[in-house]
Amino acid sequence: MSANVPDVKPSDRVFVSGRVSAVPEEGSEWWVPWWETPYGRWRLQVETEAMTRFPGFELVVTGSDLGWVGQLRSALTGNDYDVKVVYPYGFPDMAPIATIENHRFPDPTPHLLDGNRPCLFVPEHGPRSGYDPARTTAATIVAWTSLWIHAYETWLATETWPGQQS
Amino acid sequence: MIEAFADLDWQNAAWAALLIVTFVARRAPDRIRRWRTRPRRTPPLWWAALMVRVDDRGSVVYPAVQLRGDPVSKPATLTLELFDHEGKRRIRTSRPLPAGSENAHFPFDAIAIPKGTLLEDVLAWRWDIVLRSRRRELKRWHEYPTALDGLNPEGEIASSSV
Repeated sequence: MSANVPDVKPSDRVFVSGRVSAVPEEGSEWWVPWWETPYGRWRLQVETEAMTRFPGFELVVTGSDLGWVGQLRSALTGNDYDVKVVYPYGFPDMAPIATIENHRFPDPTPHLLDGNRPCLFVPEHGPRSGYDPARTTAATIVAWTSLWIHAYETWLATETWPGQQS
Repeated sequence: MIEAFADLDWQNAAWAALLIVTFVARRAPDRIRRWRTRPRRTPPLWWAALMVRVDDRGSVVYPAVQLRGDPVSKPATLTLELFDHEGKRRIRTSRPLPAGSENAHFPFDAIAIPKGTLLEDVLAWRWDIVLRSRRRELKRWHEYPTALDGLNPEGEIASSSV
């Protein structure tokens, strides 16, 4: 059955109940990218609107991945950091992955995963204090990355990581 | 002579009965143990979520149900039932669900807002998602949609009750 449903428009209002996800429309292949699903189309519009808070970032498609690339400038040192935020295949059930490119981090750097991936939240802390699939956007991830860079530069200067240790 | 044969039959019958009782007594614990430990079929697990879009005209709503979890093994029906604040069913709409359906977004036809009712009223009603196979109700979810109200200052998606 094909219901008579027009496509989502930016002016549409959306109401949800339960954990809405980027599942494909019936009859579609299961592997369609998240941004081509009914919820994903709406979500990408919201993500794009949220990222207007960071005008230097642009949406890029690399291979089968969709993500944002741009620069964050440290307020402490004025250093620029190339930041990439990639939506995983399982977005929004899985969090976007932020990486800091073209930067040599001292070894060991605390709260850094895989050499260039800042540890932004602890999944075990749950959606209220970390990533929430229904709430957190790429803009939130970029904002958290900005805080991480601030903490990192503080650590470089003082050898103490500010804030709560997790 | 006949009495002798009758006695013999009784004896045979008694022996046969004794053999049967012995056989059952030996096998029964094993059968009971196997019956107790046999793998049982677990009931299917499903999760449902509701997504309702309202266009700028505001006179119709476009609902869709997302069904996740186990595949629906037989042809089924997905129904939306809307109950007002007094518990009276006001709207009912169904759509078929092919066998094997799983992890998908199932749109419904647009629902027109009943005359004399505000859009906000309809969105504040209880929305029941009902999964039925033939006449049997497999699962029912009670849903209350919340509005996704754009973004908060931190770039997070904000939501609020209708």
